[in-house]
Amino acid sequence: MTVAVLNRLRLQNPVLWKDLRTRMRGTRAFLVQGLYVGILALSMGVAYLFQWRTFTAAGSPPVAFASQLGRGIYLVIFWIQAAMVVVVTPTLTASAITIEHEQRTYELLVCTRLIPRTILVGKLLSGWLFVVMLLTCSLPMSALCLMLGGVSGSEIFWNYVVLCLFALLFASVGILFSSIYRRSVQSVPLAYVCTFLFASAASNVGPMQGGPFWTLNLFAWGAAGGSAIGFFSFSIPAWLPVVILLPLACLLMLNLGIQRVPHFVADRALAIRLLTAGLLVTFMLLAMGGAGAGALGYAAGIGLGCASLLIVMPASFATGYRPRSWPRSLVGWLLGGLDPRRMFSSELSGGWAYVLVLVALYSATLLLAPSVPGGQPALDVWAIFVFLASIVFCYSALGALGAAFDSRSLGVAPILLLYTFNWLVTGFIWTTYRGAVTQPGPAEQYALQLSPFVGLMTLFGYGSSQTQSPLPGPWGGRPFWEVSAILHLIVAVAALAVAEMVYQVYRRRALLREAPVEHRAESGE
Amino acid sequence: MLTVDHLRKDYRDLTAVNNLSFRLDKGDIFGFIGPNGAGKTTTLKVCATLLEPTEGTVYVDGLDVTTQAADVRGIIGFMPDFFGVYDDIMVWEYLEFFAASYSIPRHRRKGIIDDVLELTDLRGKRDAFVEELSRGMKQRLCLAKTLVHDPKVLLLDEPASGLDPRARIEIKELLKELKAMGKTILISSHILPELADFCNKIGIIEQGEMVISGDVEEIMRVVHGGMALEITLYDDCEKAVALLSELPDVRAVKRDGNSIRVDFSTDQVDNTAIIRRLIENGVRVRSFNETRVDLEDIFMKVTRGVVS
Repeated sequence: MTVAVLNRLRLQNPVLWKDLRTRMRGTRAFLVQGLYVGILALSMGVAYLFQWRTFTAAGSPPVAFASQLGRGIYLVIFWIQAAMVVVVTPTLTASAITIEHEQRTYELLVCTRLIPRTILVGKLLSGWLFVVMLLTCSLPMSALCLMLGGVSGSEIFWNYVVLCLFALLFASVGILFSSIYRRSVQSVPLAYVCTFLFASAASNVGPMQGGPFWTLNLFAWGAAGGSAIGFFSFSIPAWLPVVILLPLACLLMLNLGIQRVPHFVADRALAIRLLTAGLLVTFMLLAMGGAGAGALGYAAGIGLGCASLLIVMPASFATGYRPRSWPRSLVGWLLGGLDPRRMFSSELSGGWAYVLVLVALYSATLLLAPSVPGGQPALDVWAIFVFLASIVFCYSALGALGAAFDSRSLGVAPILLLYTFNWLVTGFIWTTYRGAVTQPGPAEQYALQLSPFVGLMTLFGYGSSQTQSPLPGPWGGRPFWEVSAILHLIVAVAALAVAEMVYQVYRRRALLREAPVEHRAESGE
Repeated sequence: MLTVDHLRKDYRDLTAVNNLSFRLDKGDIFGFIGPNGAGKTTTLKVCATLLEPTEGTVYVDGLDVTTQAADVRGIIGFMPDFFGVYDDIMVWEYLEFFAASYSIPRHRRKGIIDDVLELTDLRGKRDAFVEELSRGMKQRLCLAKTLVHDPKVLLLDEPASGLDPRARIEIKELLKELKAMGKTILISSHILPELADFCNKIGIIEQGEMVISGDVEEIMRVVHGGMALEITLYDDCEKAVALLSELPDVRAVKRDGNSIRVDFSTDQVDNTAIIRRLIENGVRVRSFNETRVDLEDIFMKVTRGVVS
């Protein structure tokens, strides 16, 4: 049966088999493999010698420190494996589609009967399987640690699975950027930016260590693998959230890529919206059920999940529609996104309505929080809803502004900049000022007010909805969330107004093209 | 088999094709002629489902290229003007990849690959790496790839551009074979002699608009409205030019060395009387042929050279 399934896959995905065949042909693949195993072996040898000297200098008998030695060597191997996953994986997929454009083979590919799903899945799997092969190559070295002790077979196995899943996530990020952009010089750096931002945010945001969300920190797995986490009144294996969340995120990236890959009409709006809802629900369940999670862990979980999803999701809707479906006025822009009849179409219309429904469901679920064992105290649901809705509206509007330029690259660039901005604010400014060590200046204050993550932190973690805005003048004394929501709405309206102006300019140009030459001269075009 | 109806394609600030209409029946070989930048490639890409028309419709075998793109892709074979090849892949693997991409069952692929390699004269290169092939061979390989799923309609964009004379002739012979196989072919080129031999229909496009299109003979008759003689002499060329210029219905007499071309405004010309007149006046005639008006004449006559 397995052979039949494989044959079936092989028949149906020629891209995968062609890529696997060409990737492993020649010396390049074996050089990479040799280099990787060589680095691992060298590091393992150095770690062994270093620890041996340390322990023997302390006078411990070899039997006593064997397990510590095994554990130490395993940690070194794991961290190198994790670094390899972060560094190597994006480059294997981030140029998968762009290289087809660059070597002028994409049109040949499009003219076949292949569907975008087959192409992207083939490219994703061929890149991912190469990383899996590298990880598998290093398994015997990890197994050597078993002889010394300090690490169990099941821990090695589940850490291997987790590494493979993180590789799948980073590979899918690469595939997404490769689908959006036409050139590798755009897609590869952006895939790296995204991967590093995720890896560094997951590693550095302190509050995450408190709840079940430490599992999203790849580098934490070497030390904490094999442990269990609390979930409501149960204890679940630590790998379980990762096994659920990462494949869901991978499928989301893949579907976004399928929707954006050029020359195909693939409406994946329903899949994208169901997957985002699935991710949101999983995040919420983990946050609410994470026993022992303090207020910080709770806030970080919700914040990380919601803020990142709410930022990426509207952007993907807002940039995925066609100019012919543009609304015809500012009011059209405002109301168009709230049309529930088009909630599952891939156009801008309905996109906001869908996300608002999600936000409402999410806010309503928070009402349950106090009744959950080990759950959080009651929160100001109304404040959370208004705040999140303003963020959704703002980021959708910015996505629409990008889309108004009628260019795939421009459409995504503003969102990526904003995404980066938010992580920077979260990672650096917030961690600097949260202890009120330094009084932030006006620019930093506005930056803090416009960061969804910081807003969420004030709502969930620090004094809830009563936290006051640090801004001067008329803003002073008002709740942080309220000021933040108003600022987001102002930005949204400004973005829509500019989008409308851009649209009018394009429409005027289009009309002028139809006009006689003398008319164009009169108009100064 | 292929119907293009009032096609218009706009790019951001350029109308590449405007109000373009033509129709190909089964077995037609349509030569799409125009200078560089006239809109030939855009039209072919719309037919190949790679571009969406701004206005108008394109049907391939009754299927709309916009709404039924996936089905259209199964019955067309598109060969772009510029294309690349994959690295580290052999000729047979390259063809097998495309055969699999067209959902051809595994057991049929080997036979099909052998057939298209035979047709394109690449059998000896079956196990060669694709990137090692010469430009002409790559061009033939691309044509082989285009034929692997036995398409009803072939869309060939400048198939012989950039090739040396020998490779050009080989491609031309290959196209003649495809014509004999009954394929419907839309072939674009700005090199006119390439198309003259085997097209039964032509369309001349300039600045995105079709200047003239239809049956080759019909167009020649309508546009040129006459016939031409090609006469080669041993000597006395000036005397012959003078004699021929005096003939009735002569539009132009052009001399090129010992060859003289005479264009008439009518096709009712008495060839016997002309050759007798030359010989009686002591002109030594080496050869005497009635020639077709070539595509170059038609092209120069109907276009204005706006693009260039």
